[in-house]
Amino acid sequence: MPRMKLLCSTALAVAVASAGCSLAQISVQVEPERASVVSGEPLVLDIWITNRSGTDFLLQRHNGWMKREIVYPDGSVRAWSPPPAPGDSGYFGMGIPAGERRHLSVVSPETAMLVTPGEYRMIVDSPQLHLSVPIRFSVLPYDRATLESYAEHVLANPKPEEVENNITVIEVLTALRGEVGEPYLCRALRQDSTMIFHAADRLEELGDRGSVNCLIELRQLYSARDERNVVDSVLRRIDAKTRDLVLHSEIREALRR
Amino acid sequence: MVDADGNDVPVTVQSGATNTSIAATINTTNAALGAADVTVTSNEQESDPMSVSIVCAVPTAFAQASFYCASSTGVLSFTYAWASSTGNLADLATCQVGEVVSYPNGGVPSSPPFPNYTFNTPAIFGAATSGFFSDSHSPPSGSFVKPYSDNSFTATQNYKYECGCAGGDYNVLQTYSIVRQVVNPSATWMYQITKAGQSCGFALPQ
Repeated sequence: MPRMKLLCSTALAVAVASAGCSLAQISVQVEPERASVVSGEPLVLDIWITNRSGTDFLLQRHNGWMKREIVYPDGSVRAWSPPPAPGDSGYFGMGIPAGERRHLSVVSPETAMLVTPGEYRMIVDSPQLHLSVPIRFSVLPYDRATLESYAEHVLANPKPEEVENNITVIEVLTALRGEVGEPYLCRALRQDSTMIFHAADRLEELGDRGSVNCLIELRQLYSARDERNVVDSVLRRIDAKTRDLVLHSEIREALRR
Repeated sequence: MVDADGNDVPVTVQSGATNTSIAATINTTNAALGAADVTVTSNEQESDPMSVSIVCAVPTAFAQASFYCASSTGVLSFTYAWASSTGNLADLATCQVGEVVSYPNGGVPSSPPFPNYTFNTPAIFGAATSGFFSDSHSPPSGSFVKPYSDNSFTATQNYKYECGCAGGDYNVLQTYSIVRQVVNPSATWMYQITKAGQSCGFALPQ
């Protein structure tokens, strides 16, 4: 691949966690954005990668680039597996030029599923970065008002024009417990139509009246053909799956307009 | 300097300013495109304006970098790289690059001989600052169905970009056909996929 060369030598590329080692060629800091999350909220990892190798580095962010295991308060361990990528699929890279430092936000949707309050650990593992680091975090009892307040905070992100930041916002909102996250996700998609590509799967997965109403509204708002096509294909797939006859006829009617 | 909405553009002044020099970073992410005057005011004195040109960086030089055929699974993969029109990928902060694939017949290939499978129209976009995209094309999941016959299923793939600073329109970078076939070139039924002149496939159970 041009421009970005992979660092292949495990002897040279040493990753370190928060209290890093300054001699490392590629040094990595991993920290939770918040030390505690409310049940239903995803943990966001702030990752800083510094490339001191003298060679440009390309992090390939494929489906399994970061492995994660959660250690529960009772000591049991569960590994997170990314969803499979069938048919035609792809992933992006992240280039870190020699001598530079890059920040990356990683949303861990599996932590939003944790329902038991307590102290947890997450083992973050990345063979590419030669990283294996434990992260401690707490899960607080479910509190809808706190989750909604968090969603408001996320949605009012301070960098509206930066794509990478906006994708993280959408990833957080799609990971939030459905009944909480859905209206905020819809608001985000009203504000920025280009984010529909990152939210379509979630709206299909929810497949309820809220997501259908959202999609029908977005369909009227969106002018770009690619964005409307995504909305239409999600509506068609929900239509094919739903047993709700009223929803079924509303989708059909919307698609005829 | 003000942005397109009339708001002040954020300026970060680096330390070390003297009576005669100052270094500052001007965040033009939401600034109006075109010429802009920058002046420095200190102690009620204003400098002469310095004219700068604010441009919208867009992805350019999108090109295939490599391909790979996993012959055991029939997955054909490509990597693509691109640059920024300004020469600095970080300038593509308002841009997304991605792919949109459209299929005939609602994404359903003929079965037999293809498996009973529906391709979901993928529209995969990501931050253009990455400068790298890897694309994989898998066979339809499930068992191929007998009786086999010559058959093909052709999707159209468009690689596109959109940049907030360029109005958010979707511009095509490259267009490809992705041809999935069941063929019998030499007395053996095969699944074969072809894109950009590269093929991959495997023998079907006879």
